[in-house]
Amino acid sequence: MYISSKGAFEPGKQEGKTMIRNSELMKGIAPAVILKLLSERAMYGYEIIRLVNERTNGEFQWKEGALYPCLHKMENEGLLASEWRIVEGKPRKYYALTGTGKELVEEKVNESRTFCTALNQLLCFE
Amino acid sequence: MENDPIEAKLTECTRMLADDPELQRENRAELRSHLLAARDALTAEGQGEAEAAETACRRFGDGEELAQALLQADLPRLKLRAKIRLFVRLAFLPLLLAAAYLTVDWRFFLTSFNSSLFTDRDPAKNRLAGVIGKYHNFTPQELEILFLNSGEIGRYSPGQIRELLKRHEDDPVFRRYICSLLASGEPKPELLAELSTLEPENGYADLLAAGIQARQALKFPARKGKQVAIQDRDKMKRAMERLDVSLKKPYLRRCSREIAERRMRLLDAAPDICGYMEQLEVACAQSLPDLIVFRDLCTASVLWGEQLEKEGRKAEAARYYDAWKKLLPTLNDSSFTLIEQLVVGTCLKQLHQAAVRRGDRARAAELEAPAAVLKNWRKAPGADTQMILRHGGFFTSMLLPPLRCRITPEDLKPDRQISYLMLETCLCAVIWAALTLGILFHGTAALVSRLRKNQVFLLLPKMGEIGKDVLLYLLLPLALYLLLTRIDWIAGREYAVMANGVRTAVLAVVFLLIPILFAGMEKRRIRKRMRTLGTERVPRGQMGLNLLPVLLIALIVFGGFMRLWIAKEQRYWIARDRFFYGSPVGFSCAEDDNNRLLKEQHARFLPAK
Repeated sequence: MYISSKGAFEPGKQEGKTMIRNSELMKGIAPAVILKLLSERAMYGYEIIRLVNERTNGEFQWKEGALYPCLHKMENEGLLASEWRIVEGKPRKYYALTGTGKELVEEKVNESRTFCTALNQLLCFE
Repeated sequence: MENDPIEAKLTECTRMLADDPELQRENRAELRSHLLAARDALTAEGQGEAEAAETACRRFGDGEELAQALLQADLPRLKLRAKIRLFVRLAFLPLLLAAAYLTVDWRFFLTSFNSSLFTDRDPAKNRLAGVIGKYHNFTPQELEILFLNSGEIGRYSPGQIRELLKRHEDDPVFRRYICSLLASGEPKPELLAELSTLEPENGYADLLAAGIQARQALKFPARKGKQVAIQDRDKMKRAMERLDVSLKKPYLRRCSREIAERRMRLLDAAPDICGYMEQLEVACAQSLPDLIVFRDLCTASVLWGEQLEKEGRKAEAARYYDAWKKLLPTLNDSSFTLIEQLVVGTCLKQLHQAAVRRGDRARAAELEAPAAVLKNWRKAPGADTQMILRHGGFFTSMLLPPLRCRITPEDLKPDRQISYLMLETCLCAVIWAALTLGILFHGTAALVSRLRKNQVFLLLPKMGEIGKDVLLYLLLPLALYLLLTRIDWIAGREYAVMANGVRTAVLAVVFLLIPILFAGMEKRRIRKRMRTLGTERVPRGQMGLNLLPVLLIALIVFGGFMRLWIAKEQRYWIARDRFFYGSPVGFSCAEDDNNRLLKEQHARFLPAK
């Protein structure tokens, strides 16, 4: 089962795995994911996507471009700061947490954990 | 380019940001770096390049949705940036004009360029009168009081002089000044006679008329050492009769000091270097043509006395030998310049020599002490000229060496500092010229680029960068300026500008290099930023447009800050100067001191009026 972009539950399987493809759901958890990852170090967009895929074994089927509006929104909210760096001759925009962003990491992660636990309990109730 | 699926995708994703080319390019560059990285990763996994690009684009998501999402995410930024750009567009020209106006001390330059102090022009023809008149909003009558002098009145017809007198009929002081001007150039005896009737109790107009006649009756030697002699006895007789008329009148009043004081009050010069130059200019426009009359009448009266004695009219002769006792106290009491005191001293010396020559022991003894005053003053040790040249400012170096003043290097500090400030004012003007040229050049490049329909856009700094810019472009020059101007051993400001040539030149170069250095740094930053936006070679128009605000900020720094700071410093040092500024009669406090000293010493020996 996966939640479609239209919000309906639809069956979806790829290579024997159940994947999360719902873009609204992804939008909801993306800030927490981004904050958590950037709390480790400054990263550029593609690096974030790659890390998410690595750490979730590809469970999160993110439309990669959707990351950027999220990053920009968080930057405008003052949670992230960006900086262009030339790496191996290529310009890359790196994002890092601001002071406000750092303060919010734990809160957002705990919020997501609580949500997952509650959802798990709810879905496993029967 | 658009055949490339990645570029086509980028165009689709960023098309809604077209109103903000910088933001659009930045988004495009960021998304491009992602898609290229994804394509390269897929290529490394074994896909063909075209297939990898297609896959990367597919995984990237729907272009339309992403364009909407990016617009939504960047909307607050987009709105703010649009407002900033609008502000920059609207404020640029007013700020540019304000900064251009403030950067240059226009009064200083207009005064300098039009001043006869710095040019060979005839003071009467200089345009400074017009310049000063415009600044102070003087009426034509006030301008006449301020600038009328011998050269000016020489061009007036008798009718014009009568009109002038009518315009100032309630002003006896100015009338006396006009009277004194008539003693120079073409003699105008009929006008002097009219002036004599206007103030019948004052012997001044008759005195001037007598002086003019006496001068015509005298024969001045072509060679030095020869004696002045009477060449026209009848004319001399008439001159002496006119002198008698003058000296018999209840009083003899000239007006030079009063008119000088009135001019200074009217001018109300600003307490800065420009105000002082205006003051000097107005003071220089003051004519003292009656000095020659006093000198000639002293000479003529003695010669006439000797003539009468030769003719056996000894009793009458005595009156002319002693005419100086009425003439010189008038000149001494009303004097306010050093030159007037020099004339008093010279007359006394000549009178003494004449008395000795004719063997008049009593008068020689009487004149010995007053004649020695000027001689003693000249012999008195003056200021150390070398010290003045080493530590003085422009004015002290020019004016103090001939004066007798007790001076220490510390006394010279205000004028020295003012000289450095004048130099800085000039440097500000040079920087102004360079920045204005830069603005014109880059503005034209940007305009041409726009007219050719090339995309040129303003790069806006990030908030974080503004702090760094303030530190770099404002605080650093300020710190440098303070360091160079406040710490004597770095800038060597305990020495005169000319005695400190190398260090002054080095500092001037540093001063001039700062804007060039900053412009270079800014160019580098623009190139770097454009590279991140995917443009390797920055078009001239784009560079020009982005340099314009920087050049404007530099103008504001120099105009709105440095120049005003310099003006404040000028006022500070002028308030502490004791040699030049604040003279109630015009030239300098140092000259006033010398005049006062000689005047007091002469007055001790001259009869009371």
